[in-house]
Amino acid sequence: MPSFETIIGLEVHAQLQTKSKMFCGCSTRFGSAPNTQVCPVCLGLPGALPVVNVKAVEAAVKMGLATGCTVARRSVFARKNYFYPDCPKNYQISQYEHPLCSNGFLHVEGGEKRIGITRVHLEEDAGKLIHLEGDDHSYADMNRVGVPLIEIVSEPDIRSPRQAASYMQKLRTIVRYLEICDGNMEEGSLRCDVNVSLRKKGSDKFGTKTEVKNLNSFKAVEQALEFEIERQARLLGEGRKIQQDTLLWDSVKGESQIMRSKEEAHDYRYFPEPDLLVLDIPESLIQRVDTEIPELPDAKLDRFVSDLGLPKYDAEVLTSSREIAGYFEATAKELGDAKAVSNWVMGEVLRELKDKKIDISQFKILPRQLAALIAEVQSGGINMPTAKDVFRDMAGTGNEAKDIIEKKGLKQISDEGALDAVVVSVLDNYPQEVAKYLAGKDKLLKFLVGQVMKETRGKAHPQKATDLLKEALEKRRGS
Amino acid sequence: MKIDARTITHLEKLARIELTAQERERLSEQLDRIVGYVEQLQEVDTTDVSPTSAVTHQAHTQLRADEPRKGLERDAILSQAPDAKDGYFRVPKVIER
Ligand SMILES: [Zn+2]
Repeated sequence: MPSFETIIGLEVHAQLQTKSKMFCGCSTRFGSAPNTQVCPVCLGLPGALPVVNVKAVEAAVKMGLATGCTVARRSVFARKNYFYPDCPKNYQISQYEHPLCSNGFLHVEGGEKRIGITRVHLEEDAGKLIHLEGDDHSYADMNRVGVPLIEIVSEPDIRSPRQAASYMQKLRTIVRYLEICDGNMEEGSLRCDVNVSLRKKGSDKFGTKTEVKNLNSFKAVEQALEFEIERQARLLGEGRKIQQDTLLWDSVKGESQIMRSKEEAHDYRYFPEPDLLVLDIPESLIQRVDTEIPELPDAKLDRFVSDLGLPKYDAEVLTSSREIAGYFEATAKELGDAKAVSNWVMGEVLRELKDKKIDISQFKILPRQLAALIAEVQSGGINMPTAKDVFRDMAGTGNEAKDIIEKKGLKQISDEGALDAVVVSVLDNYPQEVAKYLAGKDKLLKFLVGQVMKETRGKAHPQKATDLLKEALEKRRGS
Repeated sequence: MKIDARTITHLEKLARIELTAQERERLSEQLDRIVGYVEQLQEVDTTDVSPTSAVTHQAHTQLRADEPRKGLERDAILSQAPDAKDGYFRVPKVIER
């Protein structure tokens, strides 16, 4: 295969978390009975006029500021015309020539790769169509019509499917930090279309691009791009031309199919929306929104590395969610040992959340309680395996580590006299193993340590038990 | 610019309408005149005039507080639709998108 360079750009739609729709007062609640959140404005009834939702404007400005965009003090809504049963007005109100935000960027791959953001603009969502097998009709639910969206258009800066998925992940993290979108890809709150083209390595001209739609997971983004890159490379390799097609990804079949060709491409006939005046953004709004932006993932990551001394990998995992980062930080503050807390949060805590399919707000162990548990380990009160049992107990009951340890008698046995007695009895009980060890089978030490742990119901201080065992074994070697 | 038969066909497709031969002829004449008028306007020197996107650039759009309000009753809306079933608008089967 000749060497091609891949050029990828993403168009991401994020549903904004407002209570009411973009241009009318209808509720945006997800999952209501069909056609129960509709009014003359979103149904496009004659005479109805749109009025812009201030919360949606603020959310778009927030996203613009968070991604280094220039926020236009004056932007213009436009009509995008098309006929489709999910769109009762026969046009979507969007922004075209004069978007609200433009010229931003974000970083992926640990800050190594910068991806430009062409624009972030406001628009409204379309309705939902349901198609039933064997039914010659489709069914339209207009509850989603008019729900506010931002469209985030990237520059063609992305060079691999992996990078595209990372970019998408970063966008999701940012909208969630900003609390403007819940980022739920399964429910369609965050959706993605990709544009992809190939060009000969070293060339500076773009090849013909195709668009792939309907990507509702990070995996779909990556797989659909891999599929499309391979398809284009094969065509180009055979000396054929790429057609400017729109394709639809089928995640079940793992392939995309051509949805429409260039000849059938939509002619949207954009023009300025006559029902709305220009959107003026006062400086005061921009300033206010700016103060509402929390510390963003990149800044948090840098601080976790430089101030708390965490490895970059830990900082990346912890900052991928604002809530997890907050939980970690609160616990680290209590304990004063960031790395120990990071190990627990990245290991036990995240595993527990995943197993129970809950988020950190539903997690029963408070930062203060986790810090106390880790402190028990660090002071030698309990050993690590016991601590993990106590952790599981706490996660189920919300009880304090101290109480669980006391109630269940889990305190670590570090007392040499007590441990010595156990060591002697283990050596007496396993004379064959002892003999083999003394004959050079070092591995049997582990077995013997295991027996000591068993005898003490897991409470022996592992290092002390090992030391005492070795000592006792050496003594037997002499006799 | 001349509005030829191909442009008329394209416009028909975009507007989802079907014209008769006479209508096509009549419309292409009328559209020709409209486009001609716009071409005439283009002769005006607008070098120092910024483009107009709204009726007035003095006024700007008013913003609304994000407060949900009750909309229309579903039965009332669906009773006005050409076809409906089980709370949905029913339309001819579509597959695209
Ligand atoms: Zn409405």
